[in-house]
Amino acid sequence: MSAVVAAGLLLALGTYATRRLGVELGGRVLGRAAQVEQLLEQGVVALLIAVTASAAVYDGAAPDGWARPVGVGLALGAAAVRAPLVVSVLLGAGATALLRLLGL
Amino acid sequence: MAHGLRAIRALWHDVPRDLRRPILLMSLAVALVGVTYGVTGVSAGFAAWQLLLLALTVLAGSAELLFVGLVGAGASPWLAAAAGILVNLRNSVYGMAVSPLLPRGWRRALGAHLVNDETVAFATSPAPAAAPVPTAHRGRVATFWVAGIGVALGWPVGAAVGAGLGLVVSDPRVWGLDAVLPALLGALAVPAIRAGRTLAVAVLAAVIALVTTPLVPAGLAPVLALAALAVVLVPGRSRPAQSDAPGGLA
Repeated sequence: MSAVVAAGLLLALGTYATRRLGVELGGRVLGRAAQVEQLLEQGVVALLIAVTASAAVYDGAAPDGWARPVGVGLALGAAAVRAPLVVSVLLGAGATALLRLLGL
Repeated sequence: MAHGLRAIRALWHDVPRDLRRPILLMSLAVALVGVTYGVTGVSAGFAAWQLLLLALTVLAGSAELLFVGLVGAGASPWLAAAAGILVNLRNSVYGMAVSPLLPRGWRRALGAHLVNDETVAFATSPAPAAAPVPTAHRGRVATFWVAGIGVALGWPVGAAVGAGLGLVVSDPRVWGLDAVLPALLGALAVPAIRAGRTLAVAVLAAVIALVTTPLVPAGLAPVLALAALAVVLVPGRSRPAQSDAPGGLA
């Protein structure tokens, strides 16, 4: 299991590097034009939604069934009508569990 | 110690009022994802201390879930680490977005560790239009740090609870816990999607992610989804598209 711990620490170092790289590049390469700022904010939305879609639908590279995508869709709908964050999240998890119980 | 507490209280005071409760609730939700990670990790054969060590040093939910999942499925840990780093490439974009909030020195070194989906979603969330610019900047800085502290506490605490729970329930799917991460990230993005081009970016990003996920190595699909930003780079319809014009941002 010590190789796993070493690999885990490599993951930690690599992850820190991805973060630090962005923080260091941020001011230098792009400058601080208002448009760049807006573009980065839209990039954040694109990344969040992409991870959401991928994690909702797939388990690895294979589709995971309907329960989780439907549950996550309900969570997004709740967020769109300004439900508190935790309500959206619990709705997503609860609906997913319930749909699985029903055999979906 | 007392000094640190006072600093945290000052930060809390600078967080815009309407963001305080959502940040606390987000930290709770992160803890819930941590429970998923703990349960998954224990059922994948990890010891509780290993899961906690990862939680503290990596502090990136989806990458850690992927790492323990792959190792549990019998993949080489080095391959799993590489996959996790790939998943975290998006942090470079997040880092650029919050870079102006992190002054050089120890604040930048420490703050970089707190760059993640949740902290950046809050720190870049639309500011109240009435707030004057310097106040808005201070508010964003405070929001980033307070959300970061919330994640840095919520994640390992949730992981510890999950590791304990994992000895009792072996499958997080029964409780729908595997839906917590996508539900949380999606719910964080929704308020920023008001209309128009951001909505178009979001829809296109989702489509790209769904099409490419089965085709590319784990974690790369969201990075490819950044191509959705092309929607905002295309000049508006008042101007015909120019060929190869440099500085397409204008």
